[in-house]
Amino acid sequence: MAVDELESLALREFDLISQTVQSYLTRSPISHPFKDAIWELLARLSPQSEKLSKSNLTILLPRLSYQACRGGALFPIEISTAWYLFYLAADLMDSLQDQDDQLLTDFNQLSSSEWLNMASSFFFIANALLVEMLYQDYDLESVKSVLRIFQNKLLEMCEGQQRDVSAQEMSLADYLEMLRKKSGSFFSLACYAGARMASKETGCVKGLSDFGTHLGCVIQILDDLEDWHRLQAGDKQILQKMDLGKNLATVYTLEVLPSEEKELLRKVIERINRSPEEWQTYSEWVDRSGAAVFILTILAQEVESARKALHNDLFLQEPREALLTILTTLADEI
Amino acid sequence: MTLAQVVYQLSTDSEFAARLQADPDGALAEKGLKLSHEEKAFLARGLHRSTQPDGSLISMQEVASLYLGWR
Repeated sequence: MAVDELESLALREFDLISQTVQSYLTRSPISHPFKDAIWELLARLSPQSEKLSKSNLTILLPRLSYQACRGGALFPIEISTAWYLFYLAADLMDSLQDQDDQLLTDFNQLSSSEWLNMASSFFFIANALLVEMLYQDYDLESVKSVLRIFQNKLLEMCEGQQRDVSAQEMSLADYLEMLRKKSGSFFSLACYAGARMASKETGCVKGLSDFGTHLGCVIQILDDLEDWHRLQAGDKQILQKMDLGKNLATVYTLEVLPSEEKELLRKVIERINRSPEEWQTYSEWVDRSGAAVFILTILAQEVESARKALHNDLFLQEPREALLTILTTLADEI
Repeated sequence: MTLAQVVYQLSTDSEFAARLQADPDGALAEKGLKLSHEEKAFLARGLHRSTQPDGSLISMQEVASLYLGWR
């Protein structure tokens, strides 16, 4: 399936998600002004047709996983809607934690407390939509399984986030584990939930769940690379906000350097915030140590493992190919 | 993590990098390192993508530029 076809499908999915949220808000007991506030924020956070990015294609993961596992004509849109709302809730909280200036400027009418409250609202709407599925015409056992996996994977994501924000310095093994928990779990959830609503076949559901885990890891690595690009471009704000010691390039370099060099690099990192000219010393050190080769190797590993997870005759070919297109659109020709 | 150690060795020791290309198992054994068949395949891909036409290795900034605009 071509990328432009996927983009059209993604836009349609965002429309369906909006309709699902609007329908829920209509029947919910909250006041009209609060419904309007939620609705306005959701509309502003959701992509518009002219701004659809490659990562927005991941909104199709639940539907394509459902189709790949030969689900029937009626895809439960509540799954995509809940997953997207959980994503927005996590993203809002992340932006607040990182003091994301762009987002705070875009929504400067909201205080931090209001942001947190809106994120909680998205969280509870998502939960309510999933619980309502228990009383609809879906297979009860499948819905229960999906409800359980939502709770378990989101909790795992919290564990990954906790490791990320609380650790002073991470070993490479810890970083890669955090990657799986924080981002891998979330994208695995999208695929598992779609697949499980279509099938009880373990091979199908596990294959898609694994695909989602590896795709999530790819996305987290791309996020790290984006930070790197902003740092190299002299974005001082990101230098102050981010913890350089938790970037994959740094984690790798600190892991492999001989101990005396390790100490020297740590000192350079400590000085970067006060003396941005140290950035040059730091980045040359990281380059000399082969961080770029390591990151491309890890990306190759995740991309290949994602592809392998979909090597299974149980899957319908067209949605399987569409999932692989999303992967290659993001991770190029690794 | 052995894979990380191998990448560090080949980035900082050009003789090892050359030996690794010619005889991967021999070069790894000399350093007391061992990679699985899959890890060797991933490393070969990563190296292929990292090596520039003049034989030098790509920088972090160049890798970051490769993947801009995904979000």
